[in-house]
Amino acid sequence: MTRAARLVAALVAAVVLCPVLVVAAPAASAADARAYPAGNIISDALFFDGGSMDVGQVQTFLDQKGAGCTPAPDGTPCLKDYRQDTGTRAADAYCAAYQGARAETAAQILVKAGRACGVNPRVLLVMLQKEQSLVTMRGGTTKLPDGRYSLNPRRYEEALGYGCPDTAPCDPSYKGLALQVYSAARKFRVYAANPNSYNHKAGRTQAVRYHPDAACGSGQVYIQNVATAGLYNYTPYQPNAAALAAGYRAGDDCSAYGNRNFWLYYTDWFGSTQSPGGAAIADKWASLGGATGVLGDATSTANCTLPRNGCYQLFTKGALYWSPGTGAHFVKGDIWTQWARLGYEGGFMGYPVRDETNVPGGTYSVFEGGAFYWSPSTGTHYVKGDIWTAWGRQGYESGPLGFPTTDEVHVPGGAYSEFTGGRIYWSPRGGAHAVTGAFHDRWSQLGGYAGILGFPHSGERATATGSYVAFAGGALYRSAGTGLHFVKGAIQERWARSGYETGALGYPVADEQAVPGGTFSLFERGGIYWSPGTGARALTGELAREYAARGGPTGPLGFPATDQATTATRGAVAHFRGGSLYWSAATGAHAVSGPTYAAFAASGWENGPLGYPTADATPLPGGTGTVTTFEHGAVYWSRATGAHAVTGAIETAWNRWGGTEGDLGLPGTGVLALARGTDGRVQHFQGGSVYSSRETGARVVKGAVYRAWAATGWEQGFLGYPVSDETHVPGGAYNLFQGGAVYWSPATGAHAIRGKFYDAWARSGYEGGTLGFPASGEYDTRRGRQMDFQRGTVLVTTAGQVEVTVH
Amino acid sequence: MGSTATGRTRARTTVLVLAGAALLGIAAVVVVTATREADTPVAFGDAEPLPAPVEVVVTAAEWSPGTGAEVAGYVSGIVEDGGECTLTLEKGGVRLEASRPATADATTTACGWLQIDDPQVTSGTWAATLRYQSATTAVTSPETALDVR
Repeated sequence: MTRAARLVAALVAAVVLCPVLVVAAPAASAADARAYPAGNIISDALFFDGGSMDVGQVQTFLDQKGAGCTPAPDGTPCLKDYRQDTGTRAADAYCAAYQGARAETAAQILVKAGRACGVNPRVLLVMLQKEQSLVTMRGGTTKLPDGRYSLNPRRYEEALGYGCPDTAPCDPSYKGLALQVYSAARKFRVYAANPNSYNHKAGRTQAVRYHPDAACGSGQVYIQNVATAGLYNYTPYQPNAAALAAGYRAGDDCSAYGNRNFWLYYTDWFGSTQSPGGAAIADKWASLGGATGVLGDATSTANCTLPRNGCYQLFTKGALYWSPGTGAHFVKGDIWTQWARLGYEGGFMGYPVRDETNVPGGTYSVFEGGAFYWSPSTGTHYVKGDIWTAWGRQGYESGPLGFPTTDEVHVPGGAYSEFTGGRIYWSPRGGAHAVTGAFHDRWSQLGGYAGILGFPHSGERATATGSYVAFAGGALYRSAGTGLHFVKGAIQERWARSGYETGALGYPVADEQAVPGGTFSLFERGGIYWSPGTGARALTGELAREYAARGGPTGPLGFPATDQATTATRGAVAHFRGGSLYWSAATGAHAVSGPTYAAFAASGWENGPLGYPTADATPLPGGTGTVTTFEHGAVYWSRATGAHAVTGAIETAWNRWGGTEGDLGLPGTGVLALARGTDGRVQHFQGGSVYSSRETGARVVKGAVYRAWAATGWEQGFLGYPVSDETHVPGGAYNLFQGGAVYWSPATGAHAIRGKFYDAWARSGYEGGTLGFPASGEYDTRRGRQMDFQRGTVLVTTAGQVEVTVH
Repeated sequence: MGSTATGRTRARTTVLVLAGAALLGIAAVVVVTATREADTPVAFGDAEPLPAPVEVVVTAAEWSPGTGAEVAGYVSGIVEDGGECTLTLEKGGVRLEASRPATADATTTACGWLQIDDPQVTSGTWAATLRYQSATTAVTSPETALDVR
């Protein structure tokens, strides 16, 4: 906008706001005759629009134009009061029938003739005026120079000059208003149907005289349409330059006025001879109260050269704009100024589609592309598109948002309009939504539309106990107990899958937080943790609490690698990068990690013999490793031995021997299944092994005894499973087995003993008797099989005789 | 002319009128009102009777390939049916004629369009005249030049 244009806009506003001056402003609108369009006096569409006015409208028009008219002293009536009996005219090739009636008014005659012949009654009104001034005639005692009253019967007899040559008296057979009107209307139809029979034809350039006197000359006119050809047939003269310069007045001796006045009257009365918009504007202005109405007097004629075949006319207090699609509506005041600033109807706002309308606190005008709203405190601003719609859903200016305080403001990725009560933001994907109050404050803190959340995708929506606003990049949630926090991205998606705020997690209690390697959000009853490698995983209840207590994602457990799952035994588990958390009602939640977890897994997890963990890992005395206790056992780990579970009867036996502090030390293997017996199994420890079967129980075998037993083939050998732990006796130790025993002393080493050897040795008092500890295994002699003892031998002869020899 | 320019003109017009009113006040109103009172329209029925005679007026005289010579005209000063219009073309001793009935029009008697499409109409300038003859009237137009290519 140029400086000059801005000044103009300001002046318009200043003057319009000064009502006294506006009311006093002159009515100075008359068409400029110099604009007379010689080749296209009126469009065919308007000329042949036979139904443009009804009788009431014509009568109103006559009443207004002839308001000051009184009958002549001889009784000649004004046109508004004229009545005559009319004859019936049968339909012919040019006009439909005209049904005669008694005492018809001029309005009835004009409308009926117009409809019958398809000629615009406005054309007939203008012809009455240009031929005889009948529409605006004042009547009364006004006299002509020849002494006759100005309003006299001849004006009706020759009302349209039909049958009246320029240079001779009129043909009396066409006398009278009704006959004049009907004959003229019909004649225009005759011209249109028989162009070659008359002098002027559409599409030809013809010499049209300026005056009946040939000496005045003629001018070439390209006759553009049928209506113009008809007017030149009817009155074969065009105005000369003097006539055009004179407006409605007389020119010079070579001037003729018929067609000039036709165009002038039609344009001044009905806005335009080219567009129906002119008449629409004239009608609208009249319906608004005319010169004493909201718009005041005209300050211009109607102009119908606007884009999309539109028209406008200026008035002292505003303007009327018309287009075929929108009809005629007024704009005024600051709204007019602002609309002008946007390029009038050629701008994105287009034509007005509604008159300026008062609302409490201000006014508004609706246009094709939006609406302008004005209030004293906010000035004038437009709203449009989806923002307008969204504002409308909230009650327009009477809703919580109130009047706009800005035009639409375009920003990267979208736009917004500000209102007294907040802003409505729009983006292509999100649509238009209001963000107000605490939500707007929090969102703004987060960078608004340019921040992490981006443009809104919803308005504030109520939940059962709070509310939220969705954004392109997340959502803000609020409830009374939790405050206002955002969730976004993968965490938001995970939260959605768990049922949002009505699911297990509840409302967010903090914004999403970043930690090394990922992010997390905390909720009323848990948390969701995200890292690139694990995705977003949800934890609730005890597990969430215990996880947080262990440092959460930055603690030893790291990010969860699975969602929390329910176990078959009504417990819960979640697995992490650095371990797992198991929970049951009986045990609470405890972590299992590393090799210990592997051992736990190898034993069948919580459904195996260990059950749920009852504590996190704790260091073993001396720092050699850790122990993690379970409901039914424990897993022991050391660097040297690895992690192994110890449970059940084996654990009981091991504990009899002092557990990790005892001779057996840490487990070196898991439990191994054995083929012999029922549920045969063994677990090896650093200092020995525990063998178990249902028949024999769990028994500790170790050291030299173990090696001697191993030499017999372990439980597969003749000794079978141990039936006692290693038992210490003075000077040595022994284990009892299903098939015998192994005795050990430092001096003799360990040796197996069985059968008749064992019976004989027992009878001699075992190792405390005469023979002492076994000093060898069985071996063959010439007489049979023999065993050596510390102080003798036992021989079992081939005949089965037992001989004990004591040295 | 673009709509912006149109719009600027509109706004300026408003300003001039309104600003004028603002500056001159009531004086401006009186002046303009007086002007309008003096602005007496000229209606046809108010005009003095014209002493001009009945004459034939030629409004078009043209030639085009395929159509030939066309001349249009009317008789001013008389409105009647029953007469006849005759077109005469003359050049170098060649004389051609065509006639058609005249038609009473609203304010004239129409000859309408008369056509001569004849191979004798060779290129050059022909003299065209339009003659009207009825029971009461016989009148001929002045010669009009008709160029044939």
